[in-house]
Amino acid sequence: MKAHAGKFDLIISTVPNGYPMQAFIDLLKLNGTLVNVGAMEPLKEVKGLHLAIGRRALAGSIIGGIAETQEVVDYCAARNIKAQVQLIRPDEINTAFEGVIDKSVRYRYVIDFASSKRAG
Amino acid sequence: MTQTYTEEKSVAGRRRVLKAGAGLMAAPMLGAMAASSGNRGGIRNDPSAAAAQNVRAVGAKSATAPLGSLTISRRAVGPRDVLLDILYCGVCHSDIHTVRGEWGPTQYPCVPGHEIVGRVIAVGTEVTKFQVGDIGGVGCIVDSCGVCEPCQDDLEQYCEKGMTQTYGSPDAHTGGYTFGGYSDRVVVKDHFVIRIPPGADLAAMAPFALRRCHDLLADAALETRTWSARGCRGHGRTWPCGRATCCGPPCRGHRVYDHIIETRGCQASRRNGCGALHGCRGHEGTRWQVRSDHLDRT
Repeated sequence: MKAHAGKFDLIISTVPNGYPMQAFIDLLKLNGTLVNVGAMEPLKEVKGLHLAIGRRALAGSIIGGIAETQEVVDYCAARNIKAQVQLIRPDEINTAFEGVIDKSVRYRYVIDFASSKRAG
Repeated sequence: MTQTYTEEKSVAGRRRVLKAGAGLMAAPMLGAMAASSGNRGGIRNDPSAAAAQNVRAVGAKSATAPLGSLTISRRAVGPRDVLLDILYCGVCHSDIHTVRGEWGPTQYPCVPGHEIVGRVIAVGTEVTKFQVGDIGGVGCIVDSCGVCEPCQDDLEQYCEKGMTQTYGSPDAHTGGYTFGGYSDRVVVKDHFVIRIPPGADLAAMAPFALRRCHDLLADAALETRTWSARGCRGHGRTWPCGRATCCGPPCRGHRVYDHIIETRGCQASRRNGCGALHGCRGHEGTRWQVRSDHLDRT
């Protein structure tokens, strides 16, 4: 990590748990920002000095607004950008939760309500 | 039990004001229509679809109980409401955190689901954004005050009075709390329903854009910096761990790296032309590592 210190404008951290962040703060260059969007619990090991040096920022972001979300949807639909998904039945949800927790899920699980409605 | 929603007095500013009645068109789809079809033919008017109703859902009754079949109430369709017949709903780790009470106290029964795609089967009298037969999507948020500064600036997620999340939030309409997309139908205020363009792959649209599009970083605060996060827009994919992250080809001359906690993610990322910061899992005591060969490649 040390070899890459001071090289990044922006780091987006999607790690879902608190983890020692100092090593990543140190990767930021002057005015760089590390945006935490994953961990919702106490963040660990962020030294004020390392933010002050390089005028770095540690930021957060929750979700997009409606207009932004619409823009993303339109953009993706126009360019045929898709998420990769695995369809499951509603009664498979408990198994799916296990798959998410143990990371055996390959792509995103999506509950398929449409099939049963077509059949009905 | 249910209340008809009354629109706030003044919603001006940058938020679009939708007016003009379209008549209460309540029309359940005859289930045989293809999910991705934009065809509005064969719709039957049925005002009863707009009434308060009980619908089937999948949820948990406690933090330790498995999810099972439940019946929940959906409010009557108010003047600015849209009734969606849910077709797909993505499964997010947030759902699990909430169901299991890992993010603070959870209201039970808990019906999660904030990646919803459904067909519009009824609209309120003042709704012009949707017609019966359209496809709509619902993400993490279903309501906000609409009048505070963030709301006026299209930042409903930062509403000063607090956004109403799609599930587990106090629900001003019913006095209860909200239920999410693991269910047959949902009633949502039109402003918070995303238009899904005709022809879109609905199952693939559900998780992708209706979740935390913050991952594409459209936050204005960041755009003031030299890095324009919008330049990365649209490169999201869904990772094995479920994250839609910025992982497309480098754009606007910037180099884009991924730091993904799983090797699988890094490999997929490199296929997309990203450099990869190869990190180990971020558990305590684990040292993060960077494989500089990936950095050098870009």
